[in-house]
Amino acid sequence: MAAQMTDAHRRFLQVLMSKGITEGSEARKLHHHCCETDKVYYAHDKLDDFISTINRHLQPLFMQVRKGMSEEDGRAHYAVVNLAETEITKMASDYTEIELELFRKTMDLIILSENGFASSTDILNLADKLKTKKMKKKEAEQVLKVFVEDKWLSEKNGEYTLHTRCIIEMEQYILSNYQDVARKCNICRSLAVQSQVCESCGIGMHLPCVRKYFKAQTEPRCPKCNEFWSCDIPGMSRMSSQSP
Amino acid sequence: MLSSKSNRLTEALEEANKLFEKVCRAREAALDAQFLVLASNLGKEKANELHSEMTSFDAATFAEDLLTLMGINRIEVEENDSEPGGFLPRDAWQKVGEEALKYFRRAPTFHYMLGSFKSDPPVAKQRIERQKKASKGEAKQMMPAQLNQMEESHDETTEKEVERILGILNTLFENDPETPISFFDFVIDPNSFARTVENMFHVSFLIRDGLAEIRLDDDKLPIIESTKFRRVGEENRGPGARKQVVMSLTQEEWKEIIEVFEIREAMISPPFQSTEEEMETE
Repeated sequence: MAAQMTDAHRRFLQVLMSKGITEGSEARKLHHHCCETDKVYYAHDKLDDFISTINRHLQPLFMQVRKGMSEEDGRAHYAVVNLAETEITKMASDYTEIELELFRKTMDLIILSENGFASSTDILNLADKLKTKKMKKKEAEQVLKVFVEDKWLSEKNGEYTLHTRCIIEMEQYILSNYQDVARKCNICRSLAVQSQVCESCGIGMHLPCVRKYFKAQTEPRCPKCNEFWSCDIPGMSRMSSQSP
Repeated sequence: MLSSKSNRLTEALEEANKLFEKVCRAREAALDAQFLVLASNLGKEKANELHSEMTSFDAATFAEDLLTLMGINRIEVEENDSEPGGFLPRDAWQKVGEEALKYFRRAPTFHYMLGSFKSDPPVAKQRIERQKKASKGEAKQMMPAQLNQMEESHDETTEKEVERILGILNTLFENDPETPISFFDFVIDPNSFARTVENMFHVSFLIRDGLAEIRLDDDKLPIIESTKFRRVGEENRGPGARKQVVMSLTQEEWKEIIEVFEIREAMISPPFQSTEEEMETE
């Protein structure tokens, strides 16, 4: 019983395409708004069905509305992603070849780094080593700004990491191209760019996953090797003794 | 043919189109092309005439109307004239967007990153050993812009040398402010040509900064003077009287000067750099 694509679906898709990525609660509000505007049957818990109807129609175009988790706050986000890697997708990119090379090298730095961040100094130093053509530092700064605006990179304190939108779209690419280096979260089994790592056994976990996992435990212990978890657990104050 | 009421131009074009079916020679096709050029020029004229019948578009008035639509708050600004127009409310552009929405039916474009570039071969970097993380972990946590310790760069060495030479010059002058020192006596190191050149280089800094001066004495030989310990009575010439001189010195000239001026030892002692060889000499 395949549901038809209505104007509400199309409106939802168009908004999502223009934003690129949207947070879970925003997506639900949008769902409500679209169904109301186009007078389509609305049920507040049927967002996933709504989206899968859209996806069914997007499939022959190699596009998809995908759900992913933000590494900062653990909230669900929805993004429109591309699935195909062909000669045509290479041509239809928004960015020039040299900008894409800079992006690839930035991605290398971010994924190979310990904490998932690459400092802007390191990235700007890469600008000299590009193969296609040298890029001036001012230009590279501009390009980085554009990447942040388009939500492929996010910037914090002068350091850059991959935006949730980028992770949602590029997860498979990263896992297959950086097989040995990219880390997977021990809890949710998906790619972890920013992660906390156990010092003794080396497994990684997303920060929100860490928070959720250790919420119930009195003493944070690594799920694999059972050693004491040494990193600061986000959102929890560490009290060694009981409060009076 | 040009009046907006007549269809004559269109009829002529259609006739030409029909005639073109029968064309089989290049010359006829060229004639047809010529006609089309003529017809499009006439069409342009026709369009221009049409335009003058409408009221022209005034950009300034349109902008004012747009701002009014956005709900601009035109309050009088007393002190600074930097905001001549007033203030726009927060949803101003939203309102314009909603209004424009009715007239445009443009779908958003699809932006993506995956597939923009070919997959590179897997990154061959070795995975850093995670198991036994030594205190190496702590050391890595450096903020990008901190300089914990700066190594002696070459510039620093130059500055130190220049200061040292200034010290030597001033000491010599302090002891004997009357006699000026021959420039060659001062800079030449009879043991090393390279050091001589370095001395000249460092002295040029002193001259540039006005801490020393070179003049020609009565014999037209250059002498160097410290400006700090200048004889009382001479006026302090401002930076106006600056002259630039390029001095060159070859090894032959260097040897000649040593002979002629009978320079036995260097006035500027070599810089303090203990070399292994000097220690090793037996």
